[in-house]
Formats: sequence, structure tokens, C-alpha cells
Amino acid sequence: MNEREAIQGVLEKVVNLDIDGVTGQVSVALKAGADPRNVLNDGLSAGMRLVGDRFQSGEYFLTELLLAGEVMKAGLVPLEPLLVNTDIQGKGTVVLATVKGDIHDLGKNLVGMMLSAAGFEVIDLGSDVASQRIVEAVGKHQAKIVALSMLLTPMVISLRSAVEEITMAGLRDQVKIIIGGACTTPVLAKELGCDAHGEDAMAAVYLCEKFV
Amino acid sequence: MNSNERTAIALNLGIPDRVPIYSETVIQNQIYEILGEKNKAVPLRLIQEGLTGTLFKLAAPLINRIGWSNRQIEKFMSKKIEADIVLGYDCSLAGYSAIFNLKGNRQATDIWGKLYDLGADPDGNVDTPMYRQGLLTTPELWDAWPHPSPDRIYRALYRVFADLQKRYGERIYLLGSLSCAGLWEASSGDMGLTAFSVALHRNPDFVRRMAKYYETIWLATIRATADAGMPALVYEDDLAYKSGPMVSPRVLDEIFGPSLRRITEEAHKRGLKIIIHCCGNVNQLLDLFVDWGFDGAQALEPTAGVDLAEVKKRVGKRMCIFGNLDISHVMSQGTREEVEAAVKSAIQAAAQDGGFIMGKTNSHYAVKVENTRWMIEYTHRYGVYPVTH
Repeated sequence: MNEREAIQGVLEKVVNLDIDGVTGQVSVALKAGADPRNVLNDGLSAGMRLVGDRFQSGEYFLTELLLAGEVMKAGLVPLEPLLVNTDIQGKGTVVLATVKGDIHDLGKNLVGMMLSAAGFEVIDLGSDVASQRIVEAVGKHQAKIVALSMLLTPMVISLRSAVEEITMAGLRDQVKIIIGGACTTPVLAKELGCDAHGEDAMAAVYLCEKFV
Repeated sequence: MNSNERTAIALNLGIPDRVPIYSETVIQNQIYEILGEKNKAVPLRLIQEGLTGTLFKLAAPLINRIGWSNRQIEKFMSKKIEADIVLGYDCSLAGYSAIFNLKGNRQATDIWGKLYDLGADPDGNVDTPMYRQGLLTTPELWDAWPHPSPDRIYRALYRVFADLQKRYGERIYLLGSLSCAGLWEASSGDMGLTAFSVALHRNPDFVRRMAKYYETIWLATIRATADAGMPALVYEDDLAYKSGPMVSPRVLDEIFGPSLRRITEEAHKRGLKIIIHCCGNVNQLLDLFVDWGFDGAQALEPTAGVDLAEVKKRVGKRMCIFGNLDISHVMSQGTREEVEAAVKSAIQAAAQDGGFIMGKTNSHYAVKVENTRWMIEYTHRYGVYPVTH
């Protein structure tokens, strides 16, 4: 098996959700002389992208998306030590949070997983996050995008507060703000002065790629 | 026609005198406001801060042992039904949720193996715990957990359901239920969704074993509901989220379908109606709900893209439709006019030929009592049969 075929094999392991076979296939690719960066980008990440497409088309469901995340993690095990000293250029930093008052984090976690797979550096602040922490993270990590999640309309207050504090801190021109979650809509995003609304995890990836 | 007759006819897909109204409300501040009583809920800061917080934390094992907090939940179930009667509901969810054990003063576990954060309502009082994660992330951990026996569940539910039915059953149609035990929700929640997704792929027989256990729990719930004299129960299982099912309908049917069919058969054998409550976008699941044997579907969230008229068209001749006033805006922040429009719209979409019950999609602390009164008022006005377009 040559280098190109081995990387294609990694991609197929991810797309086919082969959690027990991906680690071995990554090792095969490395033994075939593949550059670890190519295994990551053209194998694991490209596979995740196809998984995301299948999710969007309705072929895969949430459980498959989550399983794919675990396949990706398994594939990274032999790769990570080799990537430490490489000069991989990420697509940019995204600060991710579920807003204050809301602890729902499933959607946020999926967005984080898909953004990481797509090559973004994700700073996941968790759930029930105060606006001030979001502002601090944007400044500290020089983030290009803030992605905020919430479930129900009472949390609109927290979302509004986060946007206002980012503006008051003088960071609004530096970052794009996108929102998602059960009660969010494009109309709400516009009302609050956000840049976009994402319907699901893959939409978030497309938006972030558009913004960087 | 009384509330029991009205609801029974709608659940049999018939046309009653008017559209019945269903309550799933379990929020303390709303219940006490409706009853005009002082809110008896415990402030969260009292159990988490200062000296009282420290004492509560130390006393948590004792509180669990004597069952104090679960007894408060059981007592609250009667308050909830009293409030539903006062407000003018026809049918009410009697969901048994005395299933928690405190873990210090910030978290709790349920009897199935899930971890929750204690949370507060807008008044700062302890409210429904929020699911944090599954604790039984492997088959070994799941097997080692002290799962309650079906007999234990039967005894707990029968004691409470029989009392509620005796006290309120003539005035309101009661639907029993058991919280956090839906086959999908419980098994995926026990493990956490990520670990569950891996188990579903690697070890589907283990997932089937979890489903089988929860099937025995629901069979016990059905026996308790029927023996207590309640006419129906609600099977609660959130299989979907905002944009669709969390798992492929094919896999759902393959893994959980056999158990669900046995559950609905048992309910029917004992003369009960059985309704499925399922949040999220259920458009791909509606035919399965019918095929599994459910007599009704509740939640049908408009914010998740569920169109009531479409639901009625697809399955309305085969199951009762509950619908579906939105809690994210209409019932929490909507004006009187918006509530009126939503009631009219739901009636026009789904009530024409009977087999329809009015209600909110969910219970949530953001819902206003005033908006709920409007929902009931306008259903009384526009829901009298024959309803007109």
C-alpha cells in the first residue's frame, strides 16, 4: 500500500465509523512514509468532513456524528506525538460557550468537535458561562469567532449581555459572533447584532470557514 | 360532559363537546401562584451557601436515607394536580419523579445512574435538576449499578398513584408516568450520549439488555397505573432534538421497537391509553409512534419544525394529537393576542375531526401562568365542537 492509498484508507475508516480499525490504519499510513500532517488533514479531518456531509444529508444521525468524534480521537493517538513539533497553521481560534444560566451543552460540544476536525483551534469555555469570561477569552486567545449556544428564550438576556460586553471591551470589530441552539433563529441573530445563526454543527463549520 | 369523558373521547379519536386541555406543568412557582399559596419551595442559596449550606451538605446522606426530599416531591404531585383542577385543565400528567439522591448540596443522582446539577427557578428556589452526565459509561459500570427492581418501582408508584386517583380522579383525567426512564433516554443518559453511541456500534446486545431492563420498569409502571385506577399513562422519551431524531429511525426500531411494542400491548391489555411524549423534530418518527402502538403523541414542538397540520394529516386518524403551544415564546413571553392566535391556529390545524387535545409543548419555568389562563380561556371559546375554520 502506498502513502496515498494508506491516507485514503484512514479517510475511509473515519467515514465508515471504524473505531477499532482507525488507529491501525493511521500507523499503516505512517509506516508507508506519509507526513503526519497529511494523515491528519487528508485522512482524519477530510473523513470528518464527509461524515458531516452525511449528517447534513440525513444519512447519518447524531449518534454517528458522536461516534465519528471518537473515531477521530482514536486516530489521533499515534499521530499526536508526531504533530507536537510541526508548524501546522490552524484556521483560527473560535471561543465556544453556552451562555450564562444554561447548562445544555450537547449542541455546543458537537460544534466544538466539528470545528476542531475542520482545523480550527477551539477554546471551549463550557456551559453557564458569564459574559465577562467570554470577553476575557476573546482577548487572551485573539479569537476570530465567538460561537454561543442557548436552549430557551429566557437566556436571550445572557446572549445580549455577552454581545454588549464584547462591544464595550472594544473587541467587536475583531470577532464575528455566531449563535445556535433550540430557540435561536436568524431573526434573533440580527436583532442582537450577531453576525450569523447556525442551524446545526455543520452549519457552524461552514459559517466559521466563511468568516476566516 | 365532564373532563374524564371529554378526554377519553378525544383519546379514542372521537369528537367530545369541546377540545380537552392537557397539563404537564410541574414548576413550583407556577403551581403555588395558581393555588394562591405561599411558595413552599426551598431557596437554593439556603442549601448551598453559608452555615445552612454546610449543614445541608453534611446532612445529605441522612436526608437520602430518610427520603425527605423525595417525600417533598411526592407531596408536590398533589399540589400540581390541585392547581391543574383550579386552572380548568381536563387532563393532567401525574409523573412520578421522586427518584433523586442528593450528592452533597450541589448535585444529585437519579436511581438509574445519571448525574444532575441542582438548579434554581427564576425566584431562586430549588427546581427540576438539570442532567449533567451519565455515570455508567461502560457495560461493567452499568451492570454494577444497584438498579431498582420492577417490584420496588411498582410499590412506589402504586402508593402515590392510588392516592392521587382516589382524591382527584373524579375531577380530572389523570395520566401516570415515570420520569427519566424512557428506553432511549434512560439508556443513553445512563452512559452519556458519546459512550452510548460507541456502545451502540460496538456492543448492540448490551444496549438491547439495557432496553430490556427499562421495559420491565415500564411494565411495572403500567401495572401500578392500572391497579391504581388511572385510565392512561405517558411514556416519556426524548428521541429527537431540534433538527431530527438523535439516532436513525431504523436503528431505533431495531433496538427499542420490540420492547416498545410489548409496553403498549401491556397497557392496552390492562385497558390503558398510552401516550408518547417526545421533544424535538419528530417528523421522521411519527409513523413509528403509530406502529409501536401509541395512542397519542405529545410535545410536537413547533420550534423544532413540527407542523401540527402536517402531523394531523399524516397520523391524525391513527393517534390522538396533543398540541402544541410553543413555550419558547408564545407561552413565556407572548401577548394575549399571540396566545389567542396560537390556540386558534392549533384548533384549525388539528381539531376538526376530533382526536385532539390542547396543551403546551413542555413544562418550563419561563411559562407564565397568565398565558396559561389565556390558553385555557381561548380553548373554551374556540374549541367547542363543531369547531369552525
